[in-house]
Amino acid sequence: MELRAAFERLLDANAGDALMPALDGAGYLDALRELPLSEVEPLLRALGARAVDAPVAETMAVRAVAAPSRSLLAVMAAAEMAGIGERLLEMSLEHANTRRQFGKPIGGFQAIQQQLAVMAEQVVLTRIAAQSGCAHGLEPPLVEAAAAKSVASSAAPTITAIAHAVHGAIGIAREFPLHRFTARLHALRMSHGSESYWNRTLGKIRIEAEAENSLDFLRHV
Amino acid sequence: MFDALQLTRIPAEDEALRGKVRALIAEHVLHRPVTERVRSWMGIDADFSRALGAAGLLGLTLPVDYGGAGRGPFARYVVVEELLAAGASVGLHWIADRQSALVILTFGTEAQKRSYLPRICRGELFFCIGMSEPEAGSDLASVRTGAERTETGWRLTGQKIWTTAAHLCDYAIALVRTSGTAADRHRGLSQFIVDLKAPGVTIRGIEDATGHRDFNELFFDGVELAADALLGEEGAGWAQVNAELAFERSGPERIWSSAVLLDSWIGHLKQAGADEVRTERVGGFMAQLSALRALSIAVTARLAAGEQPVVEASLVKDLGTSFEQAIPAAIADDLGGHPDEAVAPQLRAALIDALALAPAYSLRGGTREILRGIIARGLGLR
Ligand SMILES: Cc1cc2nc3c(=O)[nH]c(=O)nc-3n(C[C@H](O)[C@H](O)[C@H](O)COP(=O)(O)OP(=O)(O)OC[C@H]3O[C@@H](n4cnc5c(N)ncnc54)[C@H](O)[C@@H]3O)c2cc1C
Repeated sequence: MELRAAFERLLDANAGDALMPALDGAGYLDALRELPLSEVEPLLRALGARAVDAPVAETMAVRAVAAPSRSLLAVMAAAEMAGIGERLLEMSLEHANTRRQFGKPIGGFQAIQQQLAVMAEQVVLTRIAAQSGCAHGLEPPLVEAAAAKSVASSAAPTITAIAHAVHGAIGIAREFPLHRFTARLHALRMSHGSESYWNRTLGKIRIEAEAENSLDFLRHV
Repeated sequence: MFDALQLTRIPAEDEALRGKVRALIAEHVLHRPVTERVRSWMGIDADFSRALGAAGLLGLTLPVDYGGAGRGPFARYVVVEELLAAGASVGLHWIADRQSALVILTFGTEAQKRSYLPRICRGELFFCIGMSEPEAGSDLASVRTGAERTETGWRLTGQKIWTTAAHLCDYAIALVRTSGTAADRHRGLSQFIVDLKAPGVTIRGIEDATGHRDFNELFFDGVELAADALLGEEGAGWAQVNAELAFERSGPERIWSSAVLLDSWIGHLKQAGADEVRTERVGGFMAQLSALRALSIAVTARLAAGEQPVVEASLVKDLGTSFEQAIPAAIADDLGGHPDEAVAPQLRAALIDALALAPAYSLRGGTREILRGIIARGLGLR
């Protein structure tokens, strides 16, 4: 918690070109050499929550293991995606509660409420998938990495679509911040393998597995 | 947002229960045909329910004093996920174990607890849910079945519907009006333990789309109830039924309903061969199941912390039932997409049943729209 708060202060104080040197100076780019991935995961979400597009996660990974696996980069991307999703949900709720049409906040309309419920589900699912992926250190098992990135990437189109639907036209205005977050989420969906890539990987392992059933399979990764 | 749902490991002492459950599954379940196993929590097997009771695997969270195992929600989680993933026929004891026993434990008198709980834990006493009525579905507070005081207790009149397994159960826990009118909504409702063998109770079966008799209509024609049939406080029925629904919605059963069908189809792919499209589909389902299972365990952790995670459970149920419904739809496309391939009749029959029953997954226990409303309120939307 404290680590994330300090990290966030640094992120908020340093924009653009100043960011990477500041993070380096404070030792954050070496975080994975000192801390388990599961403890770095909240920092990755903090990056996502600010749509930071500097290669922070990749640099952390390279500093910890010279040639990071695609699995490692994928679970780190999933964690950033969870952070973006959390932020997009907050922005959408804020907008739903303040934007008024037909004499009331649009968040009072059941159609908007149901969409935001679906969005929240996908955000929470992405977060737990990312946490699962980050629970195994710097060499995530293939099945865990595949599940994490597949879930995060599959959720991305739903999350971005609902965020934009709820915001209306303002969401695609350049001066309004929403598009920065949705663009970053689209980009990370494609990075280090999108859902179809990881689904093929995971599907092959499952079909070839000896497991008695799918519970057995998931428990023995 | 929903920060309470955190990645959690199942404690080792609860993991240790798997061996015992699996031994029973090997003996009672695995030899059964897929068409039977896909029904799982609609499947009936009295011997198996009693065997689970004898092995100490029912009433896991109930105090030892009342015949339970005195363990926590993780113990129940482990047992339940093993049973559902294997497609065990658990329908007979399911509701008593999942919710009725907990409602009695929470709101019942000492005498009621002593009378019902030990037999529930032994797998000898079965309960059903008397909530829905013809005119009260999602709008449960509009129930019209009424109980009026008599000299010796209460007289019950009215009708319930969709009561799963009532014809095989001993008791229903019914939500009924004890004062005021339907316009009073949440006030004036109470819960009763209704003996289904009592004079004046008529049970009429309703066949489901697959020709099975799972649910029923219950008619109460001036049924005389003793004073001790009242469960909890008179007039507190609404709060109690919501606690019951929280028990009902927070179990892991909402992600496994299509697991047997999924595994049976994967078995087919092992034989018939899997191209890229098939492989990708299997992977997508595994990824979703993996994350849903982690969420289910996270909800269990909230239960273990003594909370009532109503909103979180609604979220997992909505995600879980959407997943369960996607599986038969995808398998239908897949098998139909390979028209020249031989398919085991069992798999085809199980698929057809699953397609017919899947719509129920997002109805029973609260509809998708109702759950999303609960989530939206949890998000602070009004
Ligand atoms: C297999 C199965 C087993 C069941 N077992 C039991 C049982 O054992 N005991 C028991 O008491 N009940 C049982 N039920 C009943 C179940 O609880 C009800 O089906 C459920 O509560 C919905 O009620 P309904 O079917 O009357 O639908 P309705 O309430 O009429 O709903 C129809 C549609 O309208 C929508 N709707 C309703 N209100 C709103 C609203 N405010 N906003 C938006 N949309 C709305 C619903 O979401 C749904 O899409 C069972 C149902 C099934 C399918």
